[in-house]
Amino acid sequence: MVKSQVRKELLPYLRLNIGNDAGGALSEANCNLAFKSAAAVVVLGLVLFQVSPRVFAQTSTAFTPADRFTIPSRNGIIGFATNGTYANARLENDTWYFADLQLNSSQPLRMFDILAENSNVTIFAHLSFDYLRRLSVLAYFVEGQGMQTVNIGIEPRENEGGLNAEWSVLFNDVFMGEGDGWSIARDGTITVTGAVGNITIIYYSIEDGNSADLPFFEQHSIVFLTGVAVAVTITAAVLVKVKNKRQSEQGEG
Amino acid sequence: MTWENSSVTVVSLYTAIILLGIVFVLKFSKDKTRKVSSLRLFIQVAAVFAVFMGLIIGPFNQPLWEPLGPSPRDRLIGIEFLGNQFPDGLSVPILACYYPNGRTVTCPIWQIQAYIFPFWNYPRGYEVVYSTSGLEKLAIVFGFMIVLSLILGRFFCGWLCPFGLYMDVLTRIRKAFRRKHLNLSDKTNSAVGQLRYIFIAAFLILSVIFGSYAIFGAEIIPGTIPGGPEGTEAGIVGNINEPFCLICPMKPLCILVECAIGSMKYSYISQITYEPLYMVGSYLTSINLPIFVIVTILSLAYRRFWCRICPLGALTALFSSFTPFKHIALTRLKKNEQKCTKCGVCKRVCPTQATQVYEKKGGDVTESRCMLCARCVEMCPYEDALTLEFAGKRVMMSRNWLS
Repeated sequence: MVKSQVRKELLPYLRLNIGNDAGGALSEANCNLAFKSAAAVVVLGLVLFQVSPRVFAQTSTAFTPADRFTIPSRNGIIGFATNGTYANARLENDTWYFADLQLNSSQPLRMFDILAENSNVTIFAHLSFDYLRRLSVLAYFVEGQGMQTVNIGIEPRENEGGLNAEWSVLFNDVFMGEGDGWSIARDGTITVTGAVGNITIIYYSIEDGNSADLPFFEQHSIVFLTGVAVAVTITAAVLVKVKNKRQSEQGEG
Repeated sequence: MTWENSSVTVVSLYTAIILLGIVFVLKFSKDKTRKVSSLRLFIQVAAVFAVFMGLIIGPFNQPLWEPLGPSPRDRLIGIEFLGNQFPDGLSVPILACYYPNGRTVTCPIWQIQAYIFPFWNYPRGYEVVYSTSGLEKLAIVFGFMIVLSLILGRFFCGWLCPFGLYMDVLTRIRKAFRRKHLNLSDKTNSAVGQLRYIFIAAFLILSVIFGSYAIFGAEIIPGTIPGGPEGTEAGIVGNINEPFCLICPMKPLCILVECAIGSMKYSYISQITYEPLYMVGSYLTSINLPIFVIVTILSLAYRRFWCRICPLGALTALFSSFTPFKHIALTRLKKNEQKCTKCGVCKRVCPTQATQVYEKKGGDVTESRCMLCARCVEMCPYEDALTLEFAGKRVMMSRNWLS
C-alpha cells in the first residue's frame, strides 16, 4: 500500500526530472545540460585539434623531380627523384634546410639539411624503421666529383650511451670505412667527398635487449613482481572480506 | 629540459587540475540528479587525456611534440617503464589501441592475441627484442587484469574507457535532439550479454589457430607461417593473427583522435610503413570502419550498446563478477532491502539494462553487466538504498533528492 502510494507520487516527478532515462520527455534543465556537455566536448575536440603543433605543420609545399634547389656560391644543385612535400625549406649558410620532408613512397624526414659543392645531387628515398632499434637509410645519386654534407636529423644523444649505434656509408653499393671518402661530425652530419654515383647513408641503432648476463630474478623481474602484486591484492581482498564479515556479524549480534 | 619533458611537473600539474576539477564539479553541480554523471564525464575526459597523451607513464624525455616518424607505436614508451621484458605498456582494461602514445597503456585483448601468436620472434616480424617468453608475457597481462579487476572491477568501463565516453557523448547528443532511447527486452539483453563470452573465446581460439604453426609446428590455416613470404607481416596476411583488432570499433576512433591531437600523422594511415597498403589496410580500410559506423548507430539508439557485448568488459567481469573473484572483489554495488521501494528507477536508468539491482532483494547486486557507473545510485531517490562500496567503505550512496 505504502509502496504503491510512493510510486504514484514519485513517478510523475521522475518522468519530469529523469527525462529520457525514465522513458519520458527531457526536462528543460537536462536538455540544457546535454547541450552544454555536447558543446563542451566539441569545443574540447576543436581546441585539441588546434593546439596540435602538427596541424599547423600540415601546410606543406609540393615539389616535383623538375624542381631544383640550387646553391650558387658552391656550384651545387639538389633535386629529388620523386614528387614530394616539405613544410619549410630555406637556404642558409650554403645549406638547404628542409622541415618535414616527405618524398612519395618514403618515410618522412623531420629535419634534413644538405649542402652540395661542385655536384648535382638527386635524392631517391628515405627509409626509416623505428622500433626497439632504429634504422634510417638515405639514398641519393651524385653527378660531379664534389662534396656533400648531409644531416638526416638523428639526434646526437642517440649516438651516445645506452644504444649500440653505427653509421655506414656505401658508395655504389660498396661499404666504405670511415675516413675513406666520408666522415661524421659530432652532430651526426655526414660529409662525403669525391664520390660519384649512388650513395647510401645508413644509421643503425639497437637497444641492448639481451639480459642473459643478468641474474635470474632480474631477467624475469616483471613476471615476479606481477605475481607478487596478484598475491598481495588477493590477500588484501580476502582480509577485507573477512574483516567486513566479522564486523557485520558483530553488528547483527 | 623544457617543462613538458619533466615528468614531475607534468604529473603534478595534471593531478592538480584533476583534483580541482573534481572539487569544482562536486561543489558547483546543483542538480543532484546529474552530479555523479557530471563527475563521471569529467573523469572520463581526464582519463582520455591520460591515456592518449601518455600521461600515465610517459612520454617524458621523448620528442612527443615532434613528428613521430612512421608511427607512435614505434616509440614504445612502455620500454622505459617495464623494460625489454614488457615494452608494450600497462595492460589496463579499457579499449585503447596500442597505437596511441607509444603504448603507455595497451588493450589487454591485443596483448593476449599478440602473445598467443609469437610472431614477434621471427625474422620478418618486428624483431622486437623481448627478454621474456610468450607465456611470461601472457602471465603478466593476466596478472594485471586480475589485480585491476579485483580492485576496481568494471569501474574501468563505466568511468575510464575512452570508448565508453564516446558512447556517453552519443547518448547526450541523442538527448539533445530529444529522442528517446530504445530498450532491448530483458531476454534479448541477457542473451547479448552471454554473447560476450562466446566472442572472447572465439577470438582467442582464432588466435591459437592462426598461430598454430608457431605454437604446435603445424599450419592449420595456409599463409600463417611466421617469417613467411616477403610482403606479409611475418607471413600473416592482413593481421589476422589479431582477429579482435580487425573488428574492434575503437580502432578507427583511436587513430582519428591520435591524428587530432597530433600524435599520429594522417599520412600514416595510408603511407607504406612495413608492407604495401593492402597489408596494413586493417588500420582503416578493413571491417573496422563499417563496424564502427554500425556500433555508432546502435549506440545512438541503445545506451552503451557496445558495452553490452564488449569482450574486454567480459574479461574484466570474469575477474570481478564470477566465483571465486566475486567474493573478494573490492568495488561492489550494494542494496538495502529495507529502504528499497521497488520503484524501478535503478532498472530504468541503467545504461546496460542490468536487472539484478532491481530484481535482487538486497545485499551485493553487482553483476557482470554492471559497469559500476553509479547512475542507479545517483538516481535512486531513497536515502542509503543503494551504495557503491570500496573495500567495505561507502564511496557513494543514494540520497533523497526529491525533498
